[in-house]
Amino acid sequence: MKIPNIIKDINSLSPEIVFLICGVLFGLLMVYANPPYHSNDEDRHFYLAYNYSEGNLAPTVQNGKVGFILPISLYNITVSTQGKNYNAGQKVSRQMIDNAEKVPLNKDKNLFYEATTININPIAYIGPIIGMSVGKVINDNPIHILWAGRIGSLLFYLLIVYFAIKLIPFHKFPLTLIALNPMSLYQATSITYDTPIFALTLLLFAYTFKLLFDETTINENNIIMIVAIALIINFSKDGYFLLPFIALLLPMNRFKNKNLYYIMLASLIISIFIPNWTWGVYFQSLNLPNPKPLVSDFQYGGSEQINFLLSNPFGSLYNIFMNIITQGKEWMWGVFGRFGYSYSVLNKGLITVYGLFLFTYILLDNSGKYEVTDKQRYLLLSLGILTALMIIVGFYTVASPVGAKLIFGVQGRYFIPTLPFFIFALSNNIIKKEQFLELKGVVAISAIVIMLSYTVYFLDKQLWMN
Amino acid sequence: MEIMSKVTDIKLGNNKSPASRRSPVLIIFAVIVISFLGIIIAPKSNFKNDWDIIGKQYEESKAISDPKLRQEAFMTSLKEMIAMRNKYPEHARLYLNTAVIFQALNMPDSAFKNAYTALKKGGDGTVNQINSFAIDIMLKSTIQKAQVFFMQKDTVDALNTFKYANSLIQHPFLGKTIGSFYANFGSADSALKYLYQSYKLNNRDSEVFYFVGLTYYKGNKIDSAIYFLNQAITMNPNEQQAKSLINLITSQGNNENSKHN
Repeated sequence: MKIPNIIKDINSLSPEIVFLICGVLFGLLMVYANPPYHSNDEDRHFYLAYNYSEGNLAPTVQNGKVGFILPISLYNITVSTQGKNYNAGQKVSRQMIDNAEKVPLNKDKNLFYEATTININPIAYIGPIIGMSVGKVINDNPIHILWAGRIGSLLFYLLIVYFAIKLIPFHKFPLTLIALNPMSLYQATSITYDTPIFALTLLLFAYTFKLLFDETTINENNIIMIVAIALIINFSKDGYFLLPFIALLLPMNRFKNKNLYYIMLASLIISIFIPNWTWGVYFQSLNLPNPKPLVSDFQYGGSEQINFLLSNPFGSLYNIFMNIITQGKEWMWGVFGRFGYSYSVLNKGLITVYGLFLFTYILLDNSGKYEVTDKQRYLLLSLGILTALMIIVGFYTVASPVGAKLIFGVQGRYFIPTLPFFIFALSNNIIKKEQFLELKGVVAISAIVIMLSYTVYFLDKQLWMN
Repeated sequence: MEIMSKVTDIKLGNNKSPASRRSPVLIIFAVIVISFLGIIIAPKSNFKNDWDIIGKQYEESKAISDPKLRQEAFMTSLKEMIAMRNKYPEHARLYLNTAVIFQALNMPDSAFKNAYTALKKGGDGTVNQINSFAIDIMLKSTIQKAQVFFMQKDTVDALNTFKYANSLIQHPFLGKTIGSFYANFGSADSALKYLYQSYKLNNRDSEVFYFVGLTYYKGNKIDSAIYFLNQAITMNPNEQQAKSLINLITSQGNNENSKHN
């Protein structure tokens, strides 16, 4: 069968360029298609990122409460958009947002906002902080500050992931598909600390594979790069400290000397604790009153919950297993497409097909001369599974009510950084379907365009009042 | 050339046949796909979703500054919470949640009843211990209700409100409060009974010692009264009530002495 020239041309587009074009186009559409402050917890992240963009590193304490001084207009506009029950058909009014866009920031009139999200390191908001700082110069209306923050986050994501796709020596399209998964891009176009974690995980992933398949010796500079990325991941959020251990894919005999391998290993372990030893110590030195975490009316997590779990370890394991069975589906939707403060799930059939497509795509995407060994495959799977379990157990111990059988607080999007680990475990150079390989670019681009076009349409239809 | 390729394969560790190299990949593929589909097909729990929605609504209702609108928002949350409670009767924390909203709506009886049901059901978020949130709601609701009786000058019903709570839960505050009633207005035996009950649950409360001292003082057992009042002050040097009563007893003693002189 003769393939038309236009298909050949599309097929020959480099994945990183496809990523940039689709990322910018659909990313910008998502910035505006997602109603203001409507990604999960975006309101809280926005307050904190705004506080940082104002140059305030520490929160404010008033009457024994901890929080931020925010312009009244900024707070009121943010609050006015919250609490929409999309399940019950509620939507965001464009008219309301249009009106809100005319309200000046008016920094002189402010209020104290008691915050629960206070101690996240500013490095996690680097994109939004830069975006907001630039945005405020152009238009300091609260909604416009949010748009600017989101664009900053998107640009940061595009930049990091562009280099990741450029660096990785194989499976560039699978990495592009993962990076442009609707939920990945949705996160990247929101103000959240999950964006740098995912972007940097992809970068470290790609860098490790580059080192693995390059014929050069691994030296000190390479180690510095790996540990620096691991540090930023660990500074951004707890719970993902296992992911940087992907560097263990690198065999010891590829290092300049054995010591360097052990130095890398030790540095990766130490990098887990550095955020606590630095930012944590700084925050403790502020002697802030304890904020009430999550819904304040219940006793959550802590030592009592740990005691409860340890008092019946088998029962706790059973509970975790049952939660994966009964809530797993909701988490799975969250990996691929759960929007509007998590209430609106993208078409579930489409998500199922897309998930199967991702796994099948890499299976057929022959890796050629780059072979992932079984040992490396198992390491990838182990890191993915352990990180996913860490997230689940973490929420069971910290964010679930004491004595609860149900795990609270876990959202599917938290598992996105583990996605490449599961998908790349299927890399192989044995299955070879020539027809697929000839069209793999077109197949990937088509999937990206279909999924992201539908996502933008879905956001517009589902969340906005027409 | 063929020999060279084989040598390269052996060097790279690729000395397995394509079929045996293929099998781990296909097994992992099968496991991932089956797990993926299995999780999607498995029955789901709606409880978490429902709770998230209502819990969030309630949290946002609290932030509404206009009292009337806030009350309306609480009522909406309450209706949804009761519906959810009926839908998932096994979840004790839904009763607790309902109690929270009733409390926010100044409906102490319903708050008390729901908190007590939550406590009885146990598990799933309710801690069956002295400082559990359910007990906290019950105590606050009891105080709230008793205050209404006090304002109506109906001390008997106020006392009965505390006694009813005391019959359901063991808490040092209740024993102390009832004991203080009797110490001020009733029988010494009853006062000591309830104060002892409170002492058994918390032996570091200086106020309990003060009320025991007061009970003995009212029963004209001055030595015992002074002993317990001193105990209260030792326990808490800022125990002003005990200090005042000792001063009163001392001044009364001085007066008596001066009369005799």
